[in-house]
Amino acid sequence: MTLAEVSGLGVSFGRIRAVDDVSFTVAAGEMLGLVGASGSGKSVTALALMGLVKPDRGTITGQGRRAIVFQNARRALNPTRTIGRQLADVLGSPVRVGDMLRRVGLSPDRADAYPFELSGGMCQRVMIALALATDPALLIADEPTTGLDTTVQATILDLIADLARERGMGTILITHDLALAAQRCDRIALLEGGRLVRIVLPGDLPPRPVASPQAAAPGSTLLRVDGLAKHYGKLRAVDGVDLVVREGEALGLVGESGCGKSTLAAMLARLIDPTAGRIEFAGEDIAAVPARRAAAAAWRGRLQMVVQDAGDSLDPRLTAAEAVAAPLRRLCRLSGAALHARVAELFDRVHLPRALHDRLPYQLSGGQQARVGIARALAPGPGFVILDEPTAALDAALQDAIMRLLDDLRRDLGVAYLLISHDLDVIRQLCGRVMVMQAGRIVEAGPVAEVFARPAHPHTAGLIAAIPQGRALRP
Amino acid sequence: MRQSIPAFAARRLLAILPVLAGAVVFVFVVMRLLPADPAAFLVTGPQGGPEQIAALRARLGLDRSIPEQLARYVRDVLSGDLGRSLTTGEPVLADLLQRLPASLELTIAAFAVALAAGIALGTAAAFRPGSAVDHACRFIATAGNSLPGFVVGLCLIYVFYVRLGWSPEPVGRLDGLMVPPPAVTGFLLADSLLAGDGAAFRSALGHLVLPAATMALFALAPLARITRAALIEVLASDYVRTARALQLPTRLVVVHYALHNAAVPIVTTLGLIFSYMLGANVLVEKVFAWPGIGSYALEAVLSADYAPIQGYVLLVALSFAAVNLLVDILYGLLDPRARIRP
Repeated sequence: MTLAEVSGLGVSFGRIRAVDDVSFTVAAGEMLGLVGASGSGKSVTALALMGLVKPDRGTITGQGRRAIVFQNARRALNPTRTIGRQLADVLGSPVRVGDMLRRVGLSPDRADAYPFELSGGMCQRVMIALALATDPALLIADEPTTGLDTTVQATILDLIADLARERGMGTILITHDLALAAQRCDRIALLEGGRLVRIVLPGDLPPRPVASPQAAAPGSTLLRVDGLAKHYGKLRAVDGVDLVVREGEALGLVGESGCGKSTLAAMLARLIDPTAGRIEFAGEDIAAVPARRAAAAAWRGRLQMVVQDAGDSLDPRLTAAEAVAAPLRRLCRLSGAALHARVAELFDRVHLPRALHDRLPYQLSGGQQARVGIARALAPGPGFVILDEPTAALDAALQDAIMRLLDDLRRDLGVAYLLISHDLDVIRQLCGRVMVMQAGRIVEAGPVAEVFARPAHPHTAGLIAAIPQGRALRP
Repeated sequence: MRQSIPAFAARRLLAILPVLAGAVVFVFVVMRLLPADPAAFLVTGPQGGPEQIAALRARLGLDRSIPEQLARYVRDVLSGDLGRSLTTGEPVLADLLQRLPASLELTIAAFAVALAAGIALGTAAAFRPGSAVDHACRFIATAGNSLPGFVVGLCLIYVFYVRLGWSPEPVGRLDGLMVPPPAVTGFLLADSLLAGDGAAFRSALGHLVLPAATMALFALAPLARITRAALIEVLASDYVRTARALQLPTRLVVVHYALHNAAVPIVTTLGLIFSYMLGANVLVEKVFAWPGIGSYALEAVLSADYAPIQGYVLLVALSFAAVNLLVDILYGLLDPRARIRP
């Protein structure tokens, strides 16, 4: 039975053709992948299927109801209404609310919770329950796991697959991650620039290239951390961490959200004060300087940080060039022609066209913003840079480009990295050694290849199992 | 943890006490710093000399040190004594209580009109951006923001009293020769209805229209603008899109998904608007010779009469705190996130 037949679909917004001549079908019990980079028209196709945007060409026909699960479930839920009432809104009565919650793996007594009281994964389960409550024949999942931890991602996708099998539902999985689609879908429609490139079977995709583990050149110790801890009342966010970073080395730190890795990063960058422990950077105990005075310390220029969301961390009123120039003015006392030359050099280093000098952050793409953030951190010529989820906000193609750039910069400039990520796959691309963090403690550490091949700690094994096979394939 | 509404309200109530204490001390000290001497105002006769002034200062307690005067004042306020007005000769508390209903009637009428009109206008504009309603909303918002209240008041008097003759003489709350209905609530509209006095009701209503409209226009501008902006943002939100994708009934989507969430910034603005209105009150009451607390305070300032000014500020601080408490509680009811205790 054909649930949806899309033929010659075209959607325009003003003069922009978001979707152009896209055709495909979805049958009952089938999972179709809709894969493409951001802007390829996959979400607009979904909205057209739901009747939320008006196509200006082509037809959509099919039997049965359709429902959609949006990305970023927390934002997609009404923030001022309990999830139970939102479910009751769809069901028409509160009778089956508990039942629906149980079916998506939530306890019925969570019905009185507001979305802000639930984790991202739980919100996505609620969103799935809302969609199921309409009793759909076809479920459209639009990037349902973006922004979730790898382990949570796997359980959410399992839930969708199980429910689809149970109910004989057809599913459209929209994602930018080709490997993920290859692992989950029966057929994959590849989109590019609003057009359908082709429809492939998962088996047609080339096998995963072998990752190239890099030899870590043993340099002298740059950063040594002993017994570092941060307690918030009874909560031990970071609970006695020891680590060493050698010059020019890339060390990975992996763990689920809430494991304390960002708190650790903020202490190392001397943005917050540790409760206990020692941070020795280039032979100096930098934990001795209180965080509020660290900005004036002599080593500030040599220890820099690239933060998670480049777009949010740029001053919206400063142009790209001004953002990169600010640390040079303050930390390196550069001005005039010397400042100008150094900014231009940094733009070249991160492969940003000089034509973008005078753009404001909102005029830059996500990848360009990330490059400005990296150039700004590199500006004072640091020996050590903390990278806190530098690619979390980017889609797969851009992630690869940024990771390659970071790797090149490390080799060229001899700068050492601490790369923090919840995604082991990202760590594997860049780092020689990796540490696994759980509940404020380091539970495993070692060379990346070894940890991957023979994880010693069950938590590490879980993280590895959560990576979709063939993830290195990128559209 | 999310707090229950009563616990949340109790915490907000406690937070008001320091604000009131601060207002009392602040205005007391500021009044003493002003280069004006109430004794010099009172002693104006030909026989008045430095001796008389000194004697009066001693009688009023103005010869003592400022901390000592403050301590006496705080003690008096706590026992319910706000002092005596030197111009009316009456206790300040009695004066204020007698005039408060007039001000309240005016402010509440203006606030109600502004609330109803502002939210309706902003909602209509948000649902049809770029339409005639939207342009009208922008025009009124700009006019209300840029024209001072007393200018609007004078324009209204000119048009509706001088030119058209539709409204009664803009002086006071009733026609000059009319006997006011027996005071029960102090609100003339309510009292005249209770007394069954139709003529007094019409007269009171007629006198209320222009000053209330003046104040309402002033309050309506920010309200309409905030309502429009908040609703436009909410209508474009992900959760309204979700509600539409789930094909929920339109009424449910508009009321519980759109308006409920848009109400959060609107309610916050209400508190601000009320404080504007308390300030605007003074001038509007002067323009319309309205016998309320605003004009009372203005006369007290002009004659350097300390006690009424202090009493007025205390009363305004109290009503401001009460309104903000109400806004906080409403906010907590509307948005559970406001009740989180870290």
